[in-house]
Amino acid sequence: MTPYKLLASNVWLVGGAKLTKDLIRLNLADEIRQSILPIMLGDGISFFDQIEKEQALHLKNVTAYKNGMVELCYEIKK
Amino acid sequence: MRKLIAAINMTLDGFCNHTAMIADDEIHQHYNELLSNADTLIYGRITYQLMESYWPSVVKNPTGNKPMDDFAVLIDNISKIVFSRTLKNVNWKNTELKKEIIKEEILELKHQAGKNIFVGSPSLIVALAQLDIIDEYQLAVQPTILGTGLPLFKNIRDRVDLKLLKTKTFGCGAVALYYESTKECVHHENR
Repeated sequence: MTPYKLLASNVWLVGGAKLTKDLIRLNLADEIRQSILPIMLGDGISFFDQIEKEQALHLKNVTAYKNGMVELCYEIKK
Repeated sequence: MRKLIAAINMTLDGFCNHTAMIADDEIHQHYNELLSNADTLIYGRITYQLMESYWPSVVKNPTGNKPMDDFAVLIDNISKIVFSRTLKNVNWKNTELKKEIIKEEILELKHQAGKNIFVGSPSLIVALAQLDIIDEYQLAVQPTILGTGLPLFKNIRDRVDLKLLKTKTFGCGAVALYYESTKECVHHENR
């Protein structure tokens, strides 16, 4: 367990995509909250780009909002 | 006019890989209902060959798992169109081979009486999305990060705006997201 994880109750990893990817790869992240917007963009920065690690997830919660956003909340299986 | 619906599984990081998918009884039942409300499936070559290599053999030799065996019979009987420039012939029953995607042909298919048309190949979904002829998207997000693979939305050139219709959560952790295309040209004819 890292010192940061011992000190804080919850750490919100705001981003960006690169840091997120590293913390998932290092098995330090516990939860993923991904919000999906109702748009197909075709390009841009991928949240999980080059993660090169297969990771099983446990779905905890789904919230759909009126504006069409869907928030998916997963626990990272360790 | 019947609907053209893009229905596909993907991982949370947006890859299509059938080996990464959970296909339990609940998921099979979901797809059985979906196929019961369809009378045409459209595939590209790769997905078609994957399906052709598996489901007819399940019809001949049922697995004993009812939802899976029911799915095999449904997909065996339904009309299938496969788009490919390289395939010479198709051996699966009720299957038609077409070389080119022609927008007018697909629009005419939509105008024929019948149940919904489903498209289930990544490359074909992108091609048809760019022709503005997909009415609905049903994306089943699997609870997995794959890290690498075939990205579903790789070749989208023009941004596509969608309207969320509903979500459906499965016991295995998959979440189906239902979207309607907001493009006017798709909908004003039948509403």
